[in-house]
Amino acid sequence: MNKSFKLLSLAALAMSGLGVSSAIAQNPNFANGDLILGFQSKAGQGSDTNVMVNLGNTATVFRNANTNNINLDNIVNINSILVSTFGATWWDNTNILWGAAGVWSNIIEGNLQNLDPEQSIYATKARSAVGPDETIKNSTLNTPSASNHTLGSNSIIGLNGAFETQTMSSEVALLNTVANTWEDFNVTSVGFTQSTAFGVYTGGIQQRFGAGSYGTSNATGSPVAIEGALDLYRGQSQNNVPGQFDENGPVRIPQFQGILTIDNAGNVDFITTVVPEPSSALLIGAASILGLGFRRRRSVLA
Amino acid sequence: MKNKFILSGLAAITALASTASADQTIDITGATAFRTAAITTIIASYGAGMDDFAHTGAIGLAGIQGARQSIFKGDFPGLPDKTIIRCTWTGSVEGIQTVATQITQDFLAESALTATGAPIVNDTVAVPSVTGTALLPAGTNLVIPDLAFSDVYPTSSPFNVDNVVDSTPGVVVFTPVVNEGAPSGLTNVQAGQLRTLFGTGNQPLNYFFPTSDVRKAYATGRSDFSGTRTTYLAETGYGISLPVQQHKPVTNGAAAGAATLAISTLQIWPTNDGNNKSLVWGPDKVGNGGFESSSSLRVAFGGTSTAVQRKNSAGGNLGSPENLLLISVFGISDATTAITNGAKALTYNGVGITPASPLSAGDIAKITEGAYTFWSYQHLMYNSTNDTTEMQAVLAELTNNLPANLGTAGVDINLMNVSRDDDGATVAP
Repeated sequence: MNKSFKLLSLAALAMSGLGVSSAIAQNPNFANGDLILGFQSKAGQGSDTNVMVNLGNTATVFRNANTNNINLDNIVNINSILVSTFGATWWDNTNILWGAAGVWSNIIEGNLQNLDPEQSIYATKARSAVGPDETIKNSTLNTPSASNHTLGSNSIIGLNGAFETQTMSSEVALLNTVANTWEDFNVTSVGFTQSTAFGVYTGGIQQRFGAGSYGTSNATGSPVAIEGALDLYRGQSQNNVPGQFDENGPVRIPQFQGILTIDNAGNVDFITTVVPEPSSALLIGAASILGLGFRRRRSVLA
Repeated sequence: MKNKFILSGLAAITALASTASADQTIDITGATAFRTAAITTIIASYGAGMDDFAHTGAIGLAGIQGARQSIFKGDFPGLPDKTIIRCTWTGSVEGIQTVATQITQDFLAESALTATGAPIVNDTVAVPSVTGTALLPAGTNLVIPDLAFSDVYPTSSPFNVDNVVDSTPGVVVFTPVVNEGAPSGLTNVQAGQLRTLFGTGNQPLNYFFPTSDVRKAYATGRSDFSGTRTTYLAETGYGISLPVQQHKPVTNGAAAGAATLAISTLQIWPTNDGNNKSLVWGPDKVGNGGFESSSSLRVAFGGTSTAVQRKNSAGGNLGSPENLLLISVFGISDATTAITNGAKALTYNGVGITPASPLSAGDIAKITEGAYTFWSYQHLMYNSTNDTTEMQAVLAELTNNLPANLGTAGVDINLMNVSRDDDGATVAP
């Protein structure tokens, strides 16, 4: 059950003795439909805290990016909040997991937001390998039943509620005693085994950080150490709302949108097309000439 | 006209004089599901010492037990001079909020005891040998309550409860209920089915039992200020802080229990619905609202639902009128009334009780021995920073008298042979 001791919320502070008659503090830097990037640590510094970051609207920023070959460089830099919460070397800390999720409404009424119908869920899955070929999708996100898809939407709306009321910022470090924080919906048991995320996605949607890097170039091809990479999917529960995106398309089957990456400077990128860094391009060209296979892969702690 | 109305001018003078007296006022708020037992206990605690009372309900004991606001005055055991007890029932979680965070709640002013004029009427029925008044307009005297009843633990809220001192004088019992017109085969609901129902808003009847009946059952219920809602989301394992998809039934206006009472519309719970908004765990959301009080829900469940116009959150019609059913969870007191008017209690996880006053010995045994788990502790709490001798005297008297006055609300805590450590937690000896 998602409770224990819960801290006084901004929402509660905003309520009067006639409680229900007053407005609740509303975060101007978050709206339903924004993609929430979440971090939790299972031990050590920051283990009582979740970091949540708003990456922007799911539909207008991320939807169909892979089809359109959209790369987004430095969507946000969150090194400061990650360092202050989890420590200076957060990117090598195997206690930390990260993932992302978003939905704009859990109630099916045939409405659209940026052409996405209600219950259009965006969620990540840890890539099993990352290298120069970040465009290759190599994770799988399960297809939920209709009821479970709805329940998942409810849960993400619950997460949204925390972001709407617990901060006035686009990034926040919340104690895990606050209701509906990231780890409430992304439970990890002993051995870092991930439970079903948001009650929908089996095996969880997070990736665990670890030593080493997952890649060497960012969205623009600049040399960086990519410390984490998540495949982003979109699953829609409706395909018959006139004018919607992917009308008559697959229902609830997660569709790959692109890869969220984070480097050791805290820059978050969204990559659909790899831009080789100049030196790598030269090296790859040379390797090809020499008939050598060059591919850097690594296993992912999941 | 009764004497006190004639003497209202004198009463006003007396009221002025009383400002210099040592009379004490204790303000109580919280659980609506427990208000019947609470009011009965307050009346019993005053005993023959009660001088006067007033309330916002209809004439009679049921009226004052169901009233949102009430006020009593008289000699109270263990306290000198006169003691005024005022009650405003708003829901368990709101009760926790007001006591924990020391914020105000609206109560009837003491002047309500001498108020006159339509629609106020004499009430010679609610309390034997005492003439009070009923149908008072809502009071707006804002004060910080002294005590709160709650169906759930203080920690089943997002509020800082460090200073809350809690006691558990009783057990409050709940039951799943389907409205009038349910098929005979619908007799039971599982915890998982309720989780899905409240999470998705509706499910076909054949989700609950094998049937060719093509009707759907829709979820409805209370706001998140309610202990009843907290209990049904905790007990079923759904999660007390998660948004739900509930619907708001509106009847045709026929009297409660009337054969002609019918549900005319059913709307996915809209936003901006006054006191029916859910604001405890997040902002106002479509589907997440619920009735502030159980009374409207109780009335609706006595109505048929064969031609219900469904509506979207904006109030627009969805298709043609539909033959459907409603499922929710009621406290035993409300369930008893709803069943009298046509609703039906469902067994829970295969074990059922028959809502009645009092519960049968067999049903009590199901609760006290652990077979039936749809219950929570009744809590009575105060804030340690607002601790007074007078409040403690009232608290002690109420706690002492509650077991004998539980009525339909629940079970004497002293009979329990099982316990649970939290709302929805495992029940065990």
